[in-house]
Amino acid sequence: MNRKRRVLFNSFFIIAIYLFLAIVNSIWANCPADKYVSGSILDSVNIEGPLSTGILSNGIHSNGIHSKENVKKFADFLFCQNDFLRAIEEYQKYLLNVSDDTVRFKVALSLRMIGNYRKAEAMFIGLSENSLLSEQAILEIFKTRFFSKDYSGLRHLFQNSTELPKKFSPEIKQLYYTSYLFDDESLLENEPLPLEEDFLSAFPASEQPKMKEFFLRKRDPKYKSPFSAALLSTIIPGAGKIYTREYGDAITAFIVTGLLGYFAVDNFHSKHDFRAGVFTGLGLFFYAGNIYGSAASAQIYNAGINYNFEHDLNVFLNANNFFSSHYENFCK
Amino acid sequence: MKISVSRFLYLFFILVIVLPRPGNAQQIQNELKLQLEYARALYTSQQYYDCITELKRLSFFDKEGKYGFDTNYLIGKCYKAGAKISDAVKYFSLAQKYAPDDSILFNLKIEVVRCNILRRTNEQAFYLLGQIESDFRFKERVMDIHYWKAWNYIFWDKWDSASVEFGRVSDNHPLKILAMEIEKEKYSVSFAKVISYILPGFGQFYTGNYISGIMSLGWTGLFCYLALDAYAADRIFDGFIMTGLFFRFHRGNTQNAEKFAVLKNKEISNQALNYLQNKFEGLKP
Repeated sequence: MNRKRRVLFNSFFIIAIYLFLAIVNSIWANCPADKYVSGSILDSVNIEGPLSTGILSNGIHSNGIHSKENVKKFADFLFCQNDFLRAIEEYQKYLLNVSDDTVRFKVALSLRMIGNYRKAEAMFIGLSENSLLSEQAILEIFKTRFFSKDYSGLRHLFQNSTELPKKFSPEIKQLYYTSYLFDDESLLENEPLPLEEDFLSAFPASEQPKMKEFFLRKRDPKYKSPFSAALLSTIIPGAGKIYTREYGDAITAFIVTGLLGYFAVDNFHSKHDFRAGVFTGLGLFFYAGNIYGSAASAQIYNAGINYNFEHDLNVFLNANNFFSSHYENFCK
Repeated sequence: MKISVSRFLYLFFILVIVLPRPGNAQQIQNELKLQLEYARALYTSQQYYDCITELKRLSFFDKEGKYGFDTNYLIGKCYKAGAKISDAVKYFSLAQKYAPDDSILFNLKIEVVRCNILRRTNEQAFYLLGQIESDFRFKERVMDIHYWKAWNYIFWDKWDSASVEFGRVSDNHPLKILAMEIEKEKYSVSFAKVISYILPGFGQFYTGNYISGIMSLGWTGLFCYLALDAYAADRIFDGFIMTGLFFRFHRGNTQNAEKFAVLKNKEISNQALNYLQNKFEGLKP
């Protein structure tokens, strides 16, 4: 065969193969993938949908938008759109066919984002035992306990951990110490605050002044004693309210109780016994109410201190990206 | 010959891998079409959550935006059916970007208005209707605009204005008559208040709350008598106390009458809305 004929033959052969592929492809394209499985297009437009008639089991097709790669792409899209519930479903569909620790990690993160802390922690525990992301998963277990407000559980876990992942050890320590700041007073009676030096050593030098301020606010809160407030109001009506910084109420209580007392005495002097009795009753009512109100006012004041403390701490932690619950690098 | 076989294979792989296969684009389009039909079936069977998932999938893979209108519109409808009105507004607004013609665009704008009516952001609905009205593309749809303005007034609890707007749609519009009747049935809040100022308890009688009316009349009458009696007996201090109590009960009486009238009107409006929801077969928000 001379060169010219060989080139000609080669060309025809290639064109023939190409055309054959094109025809096959075109036929394939005009019949959706489902048709090859269930026999009819209509079958796939039922309530169970294309997934139920997939080529592979568990709702994954070998190609097209339901292929496992595309299911994962779509799940990633949903995850980054913060549509976590749907993202979990898609990831789980993907995981039925593929073993992927990163995807499992994202499922656990999504579960945590929708508030399903128990399942999220269970998944992170699974990942922490045998996976490439085990160190990160350990950090996430601590974070999950932190976000679910299981502060004593977090501290218990920290104290019983023999070895923390080196890379994430600083952040875990920060979580451990910050948990003390968020915990309520009753629990702190059993678990007193750590030493100031230990607490501050967990944070970078730039954050230490602010963290010290929070630590001191937590250690020595400027609470008002309900008993003192009540006692003050018993001695001088309205004094308890001055103590709890409710000056308007204090003046009102003082004037009203004083006036009622004056009317009662005046009426007793004038022998108007019934009227004097009414004013005495009213006066006593206001006097007792003021004592009770002062104690309640101290409790409200203390609740305000706790609320403001938590609010300020949350604002600070969020502003400085402490314990971010979402992984930005997954959505770049 | 050996060389040419390897050359064949080489060229074959080049062609298979590099050259575009003519059926691929068509295949994707078919799959997307099938996906849309599947989503529609889910919508029909009221599986709104799954429908949204499949539509979002379709939207994600529809890189050319060929199904932009269908997906966004149907997602909007799903959210609306699931009472997630704010999300519905978002997707109806997105669908407007892909509206194939002015008629569909008008319908989408009206969908947004309907959502606003449903969530009772009536001022926003009114503003949007004004915008649509001033758009020259929709000048032939004035009747529709009046119709939705009327519905907006209904949800705004302005039945008289609703009646006027329905009257603009048609003189004998059934909802015009209904709205007028509802307006007539409602109690006048200001009348209840004023009558209670003059005759304590009568505002409550007007709204049918007789026991409350008698109580108001009794308390104000009693303290009025005690005050006058104290003044007549030169007991000025007692007179002041009783006058204070009289005014306290008189004020309570007018507030009470106003509250009853408002509550009764709400009851009437809710009954009317309930009737419209269950019995009226025309277009509703």
